[in-house]
Amino acid sequence: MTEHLSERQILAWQLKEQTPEEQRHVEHCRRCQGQVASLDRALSLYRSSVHRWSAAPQREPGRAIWTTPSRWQLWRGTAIKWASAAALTLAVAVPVYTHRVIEERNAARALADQALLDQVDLEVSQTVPDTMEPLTQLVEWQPADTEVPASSNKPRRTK
Amino acid sequence: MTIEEREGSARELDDFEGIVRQHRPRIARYLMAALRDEDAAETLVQECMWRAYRARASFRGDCKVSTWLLRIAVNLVRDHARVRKLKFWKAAQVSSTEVADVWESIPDTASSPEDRVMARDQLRRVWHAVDSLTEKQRTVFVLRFVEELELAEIAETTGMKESTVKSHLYRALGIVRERIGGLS
Repeated sequence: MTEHLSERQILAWQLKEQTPEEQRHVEHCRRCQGQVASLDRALSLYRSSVHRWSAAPQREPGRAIWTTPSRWQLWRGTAIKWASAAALTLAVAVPVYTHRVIEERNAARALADQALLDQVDLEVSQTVPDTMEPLTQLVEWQPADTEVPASSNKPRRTK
Repeated sequence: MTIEEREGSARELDDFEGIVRQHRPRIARYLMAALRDEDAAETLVQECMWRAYRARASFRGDCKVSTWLLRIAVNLVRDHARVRKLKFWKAAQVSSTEVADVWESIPDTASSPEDRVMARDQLRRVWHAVDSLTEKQRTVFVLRFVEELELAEIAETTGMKESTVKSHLYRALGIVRERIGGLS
């Protein structure tokens, strides 16, 4: 192998996928050695920096890394989920129920109003009050189409 | 895995405190590298252990406990990344100052002050490059180059095909190499 390593081959080196031929080439080629070593060093620096960084918090003294949770702690999540579901159901159901109650109340009120209006209409349409009703049997009313002087707006006694 | 190995793995979970003591550093390391946020990582470590504890009865020992825990951590990072897609969370990301300290504290192994400056610069570039990777690329990159897992283990942990893992790794490595100025 006389050509230098390609970009892909340099990356493959980091995944330990180099061929024996590439291995031999790198052993004798300073340029390719430099390319491989540069990436290798960068990755190594990165790895050790992560290890140092992540190790730091665990050095805190007296810090418990694990406490076995109590039964309540284990069920708390489930309990919260059920409570949330119940609250959601209530949030939906209560307005629906309230809306229905209000509608029923409005319907009942409308019926009562209608009954009252009907009663008022009936009473207004009566020609004489109930107590005077027997008197109407004794008098003869003038037909509606005959002109009657305003002063003579009185019932006539029947013969 | 043989039946004995499976049973062994499942039995390991009986001593959960021991599991935490043994595997917590690796989980914390992975989460910190993947999130670049110490507080978020610490929270997710707790969450990871908590989920593992609650699900320990369903663990059948099909894989190693470490793989199982890492799988939970990978899923947590995925969920966290989804939430962080909101710009609000991006603005609230506090990793920049914390990560800055990481490359300031280069171990005193470099031969000269110039070498140390160069190493610091290179490390800063790698961190920035890793920061710019997609969530999947970063996950496989960290599992490979920080946790030093094999491709098959990464595939098992992430639930990806091995070919997909390799493809993400190549892309991630290419980006890192480009950022550190290694492209000729």
